[in-house]
Amino acid sequence: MTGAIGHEHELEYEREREREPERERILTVRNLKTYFPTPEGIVRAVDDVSFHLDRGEVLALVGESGCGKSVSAHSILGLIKAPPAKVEGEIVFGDRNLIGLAEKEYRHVRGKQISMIFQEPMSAFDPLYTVGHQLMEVAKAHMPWDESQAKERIIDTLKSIHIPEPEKRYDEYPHEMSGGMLQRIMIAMTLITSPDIIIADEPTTALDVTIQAQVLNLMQDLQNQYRGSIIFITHDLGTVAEIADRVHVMYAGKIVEKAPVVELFASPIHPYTAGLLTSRVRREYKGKDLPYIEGHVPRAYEFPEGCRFHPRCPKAVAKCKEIPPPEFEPAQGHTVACWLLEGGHNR
Amino acid sequence: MKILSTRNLKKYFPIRSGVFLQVSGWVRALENVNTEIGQGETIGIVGESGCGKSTLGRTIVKIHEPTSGSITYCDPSGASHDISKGIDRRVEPVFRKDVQMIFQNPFDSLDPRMTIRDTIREPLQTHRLFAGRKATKAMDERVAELLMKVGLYPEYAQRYPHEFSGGQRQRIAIARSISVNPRLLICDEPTSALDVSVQSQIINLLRDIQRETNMALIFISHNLDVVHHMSDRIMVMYLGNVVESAPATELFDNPAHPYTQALMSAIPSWNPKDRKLGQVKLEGEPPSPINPPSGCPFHPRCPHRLANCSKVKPGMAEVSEGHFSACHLHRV
Repeated sequence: MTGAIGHEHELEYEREREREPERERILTVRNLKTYFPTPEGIVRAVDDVSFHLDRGEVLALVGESGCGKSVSAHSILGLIKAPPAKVEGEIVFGDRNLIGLAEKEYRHVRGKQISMIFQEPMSAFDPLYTVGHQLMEVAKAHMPWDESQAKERIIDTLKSIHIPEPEKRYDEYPHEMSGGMLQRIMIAMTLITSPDIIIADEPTTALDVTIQAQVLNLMQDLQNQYRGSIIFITHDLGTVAEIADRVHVMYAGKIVEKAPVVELFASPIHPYTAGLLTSRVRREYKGKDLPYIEGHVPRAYEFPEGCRFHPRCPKAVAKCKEIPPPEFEPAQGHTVACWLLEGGHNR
Repeated sequence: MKILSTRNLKKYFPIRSGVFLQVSGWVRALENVNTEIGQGETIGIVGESGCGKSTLGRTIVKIHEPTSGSITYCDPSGASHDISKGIDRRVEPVFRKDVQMIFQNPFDSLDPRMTIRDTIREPLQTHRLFAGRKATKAMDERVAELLMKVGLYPEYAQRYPHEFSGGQRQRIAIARSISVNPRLLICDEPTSALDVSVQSQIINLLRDIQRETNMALIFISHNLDVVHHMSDRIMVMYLGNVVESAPATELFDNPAHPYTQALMSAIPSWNPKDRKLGQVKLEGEPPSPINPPSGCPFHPRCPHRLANCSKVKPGMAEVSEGHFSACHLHRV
């Protein structure tokens, strides 16, 4: 049975490849390990994580607090101070490995080719400088424009994402704007250099639902327009369904499941992914108890042995407590790190 | 049995500026809010940041003094007291014990230097619920019982807050608030700071406790799904005003106010085959409560606005039984 399904998927995948022949791989992360020494012990915040990003796609990294999604992003951008931390593995961007790159060279990548949108727009801007000044800093650091040219380009960028009265906004300070407006300015900041990759770390978590919808729409438009790639980091599966092409679910420093977005929501395989999806508060549950995942997320210095999810897993077997599961591939482009799939058994 | 009600409750915060800190303006956080809550009931309050939902919760427990309007509290014997201007010295201890609150961030709402035992004992001591020579022992037993009730081990009493996860801390905060058997619990975004997988545990716990004790809940959240699950009745707030109020299921089935409709359309679909954010038609952002728009507070963003909307503030109209909405459209 699995064989038949696998074959069908392969065919579908082939057909998709024919439709979109030039899928260009833009970033490859292999066996990334980011460890921090702490008084409580070594924190294996990202532990042997591998994934890739194609041009023009939105890849979502989903997980709860402490799963390593933000640390993965910071590792890609070279924002982890090592030492004391340890960053190992490969982050291949273009034709070079970013790990171990000299800071001077990293500055040509960070903010120019790979940009980042942070969660809290209110704290990401410097309150002492105008928004225009801070946008200008980015332009001056990376683009060959003179001052008046740069200002023109910045205003154009602000216009392109529908910011009303961009000339006036340019001279305003962060405190004069709302969170939603600042988040849009931050998106504009990443666009000035037309980066290949935008990493968005919980870009809408601090925003209200109606503003979240506006910002997500904006990101989608831009992505269609520029064919840039986005790594979208969030804990909210609802927004993932709205914007992602592929999804990687993280738990306790590991990627537990990778799948195309439609498949992940239709048939999640890893018990953690399934648990997350059922934890959604549905209207049908009114008057009943909500389903939930037992226990709580382990702290970073006391990740369990074996599969890190096993103490909370309703389907755990003896093996789960001892040996970390490898990745199984039940369908083309869909991998799951769970012992339940051993020997081709699906669930 | 009624526990608490408000009539035309208003709260304005002064903005002071200049050398002499003269009042130069007002933040109109609450405008004429009417509510009523009785035993065993849950009222949900939902809205975006700055809509006044937390101010309402805090004004009801008298963390803030209301600017005008009245708050009526009925004590367990059934006697009513107007507590809006200050509480009678004899009524205050009863009220403080009867109305408890839990907060959004359990990392801030527990004292890091107090053990869990001391934290939960504090309200018991304040309200002198245990007296006599065996008081200490009786209180320790009560702490153990409360910890078990919220799903923690009694041994945890000796520990400090930093040793617990967010969900466990929120359980401790709940144990503290129910220690004095309140009749009304105000929950201000109790699950917003928690992980998704833990959120449901806390919601189930609150409902279990409510079923057991028949206490009333005022449940404040920006999350429509969570508010729907918890509440009997929902009030939707916008810029300090209650724009719609209805039984929970009715509100979701037939949202009447354009703002409620917009809020609901912005909830992600959780279905990648049926993405809906592109259909959200709400433009702009909520205006500042310092200088609110004339007429209907929602008119600058409303897709259905009429000429009248910028001039006259619409009153509450009953669109169906028990379902109220403040919009001129209902009178056309």
